Amino acid sequence: MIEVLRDYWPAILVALLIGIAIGFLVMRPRQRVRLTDSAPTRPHMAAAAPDMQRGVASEAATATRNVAGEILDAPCHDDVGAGAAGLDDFQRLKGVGPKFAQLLHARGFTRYDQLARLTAEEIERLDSELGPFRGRLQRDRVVEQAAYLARGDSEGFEQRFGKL
Amino acid sequence: MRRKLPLLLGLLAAWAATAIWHGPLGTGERLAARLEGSARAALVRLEMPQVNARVPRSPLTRNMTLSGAADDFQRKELARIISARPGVGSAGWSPAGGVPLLAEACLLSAIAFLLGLLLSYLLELRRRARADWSW
Repeated sequence: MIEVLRDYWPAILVALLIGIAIGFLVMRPRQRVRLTDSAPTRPHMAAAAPDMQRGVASEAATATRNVAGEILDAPCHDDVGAGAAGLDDFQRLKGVGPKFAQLLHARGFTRYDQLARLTAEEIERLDSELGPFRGRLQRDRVVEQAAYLARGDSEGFEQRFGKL
Repeated sequence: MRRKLPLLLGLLAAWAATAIWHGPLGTGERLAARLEGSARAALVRLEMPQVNARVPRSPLTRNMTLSGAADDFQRKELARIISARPGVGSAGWSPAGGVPLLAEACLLSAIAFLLGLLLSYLLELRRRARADWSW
């Protein structure tokens, strides 16, 4: 067998290289992308996000609003929603997605300054009620981010946390 | 099936490379000639030049067939001595079948192919251990 190995080593080397190449091909990483509502919205996705959330009801409401606006000759802004309801857009905070924002709203937080004023104890108590988002307030420094936005310090925010 | 097909194609490619190396590129014939030359030299050294040693060609194997004038003792001893030569599978006075040389080479290629898969698996394990995400 050694003699065969000595004479056939180039072919055997080729087989070894083919094995390595095929192994890499078969076992190469395949990224599975799973989109969830809780996934944080990235800056480049922010513009597309409102459109993605529109359902039939939302479209119907927009159409009704537009028609009513024309009949009444009243200017209807496109962003009648969160803004009109007096809610700050928590999704501007890094690491806060629609579900997390909804959860915060449900706990009575509607404005950045409410989050910014939270004491350590309150943060701890709120954190324990956040279920799957537990630990996110500290991890993503949500309170600190909210303080910047509450002050309207977008520049400072962007310096610390990245582009809005 | 998605994973088996590349493996099967890879093994076939390895065997095809081995077959090309064996046949068209003449390695099988070179090995056979070398074995016969080595046996010939041994027979001359043993003062038995009238004995011939050949390996069968279709299919090519490493089992040597001896022919020529020799008594029973010489036949037995020559078969033993020639079969002990490096590279010779076996030696006898009547043609014997045996494993074709190409099959032996293909077996080695298959082992090398599996070794290659194992190497890439180990590298992949290392890559997975160092990766930030799992797959």
